[in-house]
This record gives sequence, structure tokens and C-alpha cells, in this order.
Amino acid sequence: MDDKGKIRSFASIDEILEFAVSMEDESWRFYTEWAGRSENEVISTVFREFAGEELKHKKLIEDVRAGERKLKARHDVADLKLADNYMKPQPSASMSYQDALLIAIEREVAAIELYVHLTSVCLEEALCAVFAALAEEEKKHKLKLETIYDDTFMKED
Amino acid sequence: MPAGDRKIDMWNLRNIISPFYAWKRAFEKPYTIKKPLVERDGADLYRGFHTNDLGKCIGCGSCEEICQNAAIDMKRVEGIEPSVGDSGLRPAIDYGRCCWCALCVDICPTASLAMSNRYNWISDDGEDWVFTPGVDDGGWNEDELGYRRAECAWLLDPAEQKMPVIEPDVRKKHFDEMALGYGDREALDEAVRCLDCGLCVEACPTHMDIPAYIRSIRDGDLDEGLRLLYDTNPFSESCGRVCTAKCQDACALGHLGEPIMIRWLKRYITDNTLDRRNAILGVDKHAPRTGRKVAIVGGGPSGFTAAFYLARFGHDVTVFERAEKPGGMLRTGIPDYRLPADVLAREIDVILDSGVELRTGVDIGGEVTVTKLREEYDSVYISVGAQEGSSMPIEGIDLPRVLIGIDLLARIAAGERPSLGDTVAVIGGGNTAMDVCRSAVRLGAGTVNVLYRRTEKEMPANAEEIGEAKEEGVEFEFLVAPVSFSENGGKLDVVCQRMELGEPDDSGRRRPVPIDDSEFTVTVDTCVMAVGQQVEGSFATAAGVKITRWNTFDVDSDTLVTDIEGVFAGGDCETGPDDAIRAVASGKKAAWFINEYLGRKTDGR
Repeated sequence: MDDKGKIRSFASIDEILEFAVSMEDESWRFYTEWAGRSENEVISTVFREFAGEELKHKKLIEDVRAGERKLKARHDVADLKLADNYMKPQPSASMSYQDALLIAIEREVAAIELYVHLTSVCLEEALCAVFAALAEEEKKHKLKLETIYDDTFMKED
Repeated sequence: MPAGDRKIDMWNLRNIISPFYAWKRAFEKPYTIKKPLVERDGADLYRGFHTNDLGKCIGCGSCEEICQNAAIDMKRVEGIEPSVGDSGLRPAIDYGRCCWCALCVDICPTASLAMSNRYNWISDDGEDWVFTPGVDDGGWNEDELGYRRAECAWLLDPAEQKMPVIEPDVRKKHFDEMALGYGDREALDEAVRCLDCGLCVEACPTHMDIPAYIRSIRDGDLDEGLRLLYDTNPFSESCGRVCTAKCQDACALGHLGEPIMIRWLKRYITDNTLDRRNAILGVDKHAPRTGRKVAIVGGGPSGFTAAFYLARFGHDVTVFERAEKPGGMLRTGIPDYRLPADVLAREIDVILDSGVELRTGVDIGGEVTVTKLREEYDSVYISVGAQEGSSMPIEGIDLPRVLIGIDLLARIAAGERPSLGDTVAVIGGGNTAMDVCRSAVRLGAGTVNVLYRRTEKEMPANAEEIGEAKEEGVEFEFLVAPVSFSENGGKLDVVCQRMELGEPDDSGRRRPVPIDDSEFTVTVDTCVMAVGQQVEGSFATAAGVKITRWNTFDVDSDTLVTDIEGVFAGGDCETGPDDAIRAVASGKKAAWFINEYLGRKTDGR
């Protein structure tokens, strides 16, 4: 996912949030598509769960957009960096649960990198804060996936 | 003076007045009072009313057992739930019976019971005198004064009998069994330490009657001990060597001393009944046949345990094993120095002698499918284990000098003695990693280094195994993880990264987090990955049974039944990789529910 190709200027917080919603939509589409394409029903279920998570994230951002809740930037979200040195699997119809988790972690990494980049090039402080909060939110998602991976595939390590 | 000579003056004036004199104080305020006016403190070590530290008390009932006046009853207490190593019961003391001898305090294995120096307690209500210290409030539970057990007064022996083992410098040169077994004296001395509390029974996955078989050693009746072992575990001889001994973790003596060496006592019974095992167990006396046929897929501890008990129920059982020799992970995953192959073989022979048929070299999932088996047999139990080694998808993982731990152990079990070179790195911190690193020492490696991503405290391997590995010269480097592998002129470069433990997460675990710019390179001859195991995906898919995302079989955890009628699954292929005793427990459970299922079929229920 080359999200950096989508970088454009944002004039308002609402525009940023709209963009974030579109990102979650795209992830939802990705997972839903592979839920349908996987040969393994169990992995399809996993992808449907991932897609469901993206819907929750989207709802959260929409709530922020509607002024019903605030994004809280946490700076203590751990980064296990599990996928940093791992070979990146490509989605395929025969992918395993391990592959599915690594793909999902990789997508979260891309999202974090995008928001961190946008934070760094942003000129207006209020907008920067929103990008930073979105990056932290994605870090939380990544940590959740990394924790599952750690508990499942690195039990004795 | 003779009685007849005594002169009694019945009409003496004093005798007449005396009865009326007694009425003199009838209308005065009573002289006796409800509460003494002056309370005197008991001596500092006075044996007054009991106190109990509920946080330390494990409800073992030793106090109840030793009380000579039957003054103590163990009772449920609201808010304290039973857990592993804690019965959830707490002592209630009947002060109508208690003689304040303090034997209960002197035997308490956790030192939770003590006595205050209070001796005054006034109550009109007789029910009050049955008192649960630590729960009922007498006002003295926090008192610092009163009787406390002195170290020399403890009625228990806190020290275990050490298992005689071959010295590290000698044993690391070969794969011969290192533990030599208890002699009669050691076994008896260890057996008499047992409190008979039974907390271990609940902790054992297959609920072996541990106090009873330890009692058989005390009574010198090992035949009965063997029968008790086989009531719940037909792999007692193997478990007597390699069990993870969760029972010992729950042992009441382990709180302030060393737990009973239950595993070694189990081994003592099997070692000393070897020559008459079949006769004691009466394996040739088959139960009446039911005419029902059961197929077991996988000849490991779970499969053979199920087979043994199903045969006892009278069913015709056939075990299908893919390998040429049975035993599963007990044979291929545990080196001979811990569990000799002939020990396992003779133990499986007992099961086969009880009427179980074994077919080796049959690959279920290939020509013979689970569906086909189901057509031929009344029920099928899948127990194929989790025999595929996990790996890390990092650069260089496929290089020939990078091995998978579980595969290496299987080669060694098959009799190979591969050369790993002089320097070996082992990745992982579980029991497989320990088996691999200690095997590497025995294969002649000069330097064996275990690289583990967390600290020693988080290692899943048994502390005993870690200690023995250290004795054999294995070195450990903690908070280190591999990043990539590359060839380096006949050697292997392992690029590693240093880690630190992060803050505890929601589960309370501190997870390792890489430290930026901390990479370093270790150059070795061989690196062995021992980071975990999993169920072989191909078998799971070919079986046609519903599986989970972890490739384990999706069963009802209460009954082990799969989504196919009459097909059950258990052991590592259901739970994921675990230890032998859990596999045995799973097999026993499967036998019970398969027997139930076959009974229902017979009854037409």
C-alpha cells in the first residue's frame, strides 16, 4: 500500500478526519476482498474479523468528526517491531494465519508511517496534533496484532 | 470414738439459724461479674486464641489432620475460591475442644497459623466458640505477640531427597540417562515427608491419586502403587522421568521448603515393579468385549492413553502411526538422556499387551483418510500432536546451517549424531530449546549459547532443565533476538538485536521491545531455532475436520468431539503444543467420552 502517494494538503481537521475514514474504508475493502478469496474458511473468518476491526476504527473517527468524542494521543504505546525484520508475505488464496497477521501488521505499519510523515510536514499545530493522534491510534491497532502474533507464534521465544 | 458414742445435739441453736443466715445476701448486688475488672496480658509467647494469615493459608488441612481433639474443621469461606494449590477451605476451631497445644501451628506448612497471647473471651453464645481465625473477628488476628512456630519446632522436613545423577562432566559426553533413580532409603525418606493433603491431585492434569501412591511406598506395597498409577496414567514410567510435575508446584511443602519429589517417587514405583508389571496390572485379563472398533490416529502419549483405557472398556482398538516406531513426541522430541527409548518402548508394550493393535508406517491423510476410517470404525480419535517446528520469517532462515530444533531432536532420536560444529546458537527459551542446547553439548559442540528474547524469569523451560543446562556448560544470553542470518565463509553470521522489557500490558506481561541501533553479530557454525511447534497444516486440512486458525482441531473442549459424528480429537493437536501429562489427560478424557458415545450407540440413545 503506497499511502504516501496520496499525500495532499489539508485545510482543516475535518478534511484530515475524512481522509482517515477513507483509509479505514480502504482497509475494510482489502480485508473483505481477501476474506472472499481465501481458500481456507478459517482464514476467511480471520479477515472478516480484521475487516470488522477497521469498521470500529472508522466509527471512532466518525465519532470524532461528529464531535462526539476526542482523539486522545497516548505516547506510551509500545512498539514491539515484530514485523520490522520479517519478510513480508504477499496475500494469496492459500495464506496461513501467520501470514494473515503479518500482512495486517504491515498495513498498520504503513498507516503509522503515513500519519507520522504527515505530522512532520504539517505546518499548522492543531492539524499536526490530529495527525499525531491518528498515528498513535494506529500504533494501538498494531500493538494489538503484534501481541496476538507474539502469543501465538513466539510462545517459546 | 465409736460412731455410736458421738453425741449429736440436733437442736443446737446454730443449727437452727444457719439456713436462714444464707439468705443474708440474697438481695445484695451479685459478687460475680460478667467481665473481670482487671485484664492481665498473656506472656509474649502465650498460646492464646488462633490467628490465620488468609493470604498465606492454602487450606491444606494439615492442622485438621494433626489436631488430637478433633477441634479443627476445614470450611468454605466466602470470598475465597479454590485454585491450584489452594483448596479454598480454611480452618475453623472449636474452642470447646481445643487444648491450645499448638500442634496445628507447629505443622502448618505455610506458617499462616499462629496464636495470639489473648486468653480472655466472654460470650453468652455457644456458637461463637467455633471460630474461624482470620475470618471471624476476635480482635487479635493482627496481634504481634503470641505463639509463633520456632524454626526448630517445625514438624515437617523441608529438604527433598536429591536424585542421584551422573556428574555434568561425564554425562555431557553421551546420551545415557542422567538420573539414576531413587534407592529404597531415599524413596522412603521422601515419601514420609508427604502431608497427604491432596492439593497435588487437582494440579495434576490427569488427576493422579498422588497421596495414595506415595502412601503405597510408605506401606511397602509397590504393587498397589503401580495399580494406582495405571488407574490414571499408562505413561507413568515416562512421566516419572520427564513430567513437568505441576503437582510439585502445588505441593504444600514447597511454600517454605522443597516440594515432595512426586515425579521421582512415581519413577521409583515403576522401576521397582518392572519385572512383574503385566501380572500386577492383569493386562492379559481382558474386559468382556463390546464388539465396538475404535481407530486412533497418532501413536503418541494421548493416542496410546486413549487406546489403553478404551481396551479396558472392552473395545477393539487399533492405533495408526505414521512413523516406523510409536511414541510420538515422547520418542522424537525428548533425548535419551532424559527419557531412554527403551523405557518408552517397554511402556508402550504394556499397552499393546493389553490388547491394543498397532499399525506403523500408515500415513492417515494420504491413502487412508479420516473419513474412510470413520466408515470402518465405530469411532475415531485423532491425536497427531503438534510436530511441526515453528520458524521466523527472517532473512537467511532457509540457509543449511539454520536448523529447526524439533527436526534436529527427531534425527538424534532416530540414531543420527549430526555434527553441529564447535559453536552453536540456540534460539528460544522453552523445554525444546533446553533439549536442543544440551543435545548440542553431547554432540561435541564446544560453545553452546542460548539466545532468548526475554529474561530468565520469563523462560517457559523448567527451572530444573535450565539449571542442568548451565551445569553442562551451556551459556545464556538474555534480551536478544535474531534479525537475520547470512553465510560467512563456512560459518553463519547471526545478526541480533538487543531488547528491553516494556511496561506491563493489559495482561500484566512485560513484552520485549527492540532497542534501536543495538544490532550485533554472532558468528557460529550452526543456529537452531526452537521457538515453538504447531500442528501440521497439511494433516489438519486433509483430515476434513473443522480446524481453528492455529491449525488445531476445533472440538468441544468438554467432550473432545469434533464436527464429524463419532470423531474425537485431543492432545497437542487440540490444545497446541503442550507437555506429556496434558496429552495423557486428554487421552484419558477421550476414552471416557468415546466409551460414552459407543454406549449410546449400543443403547440406541
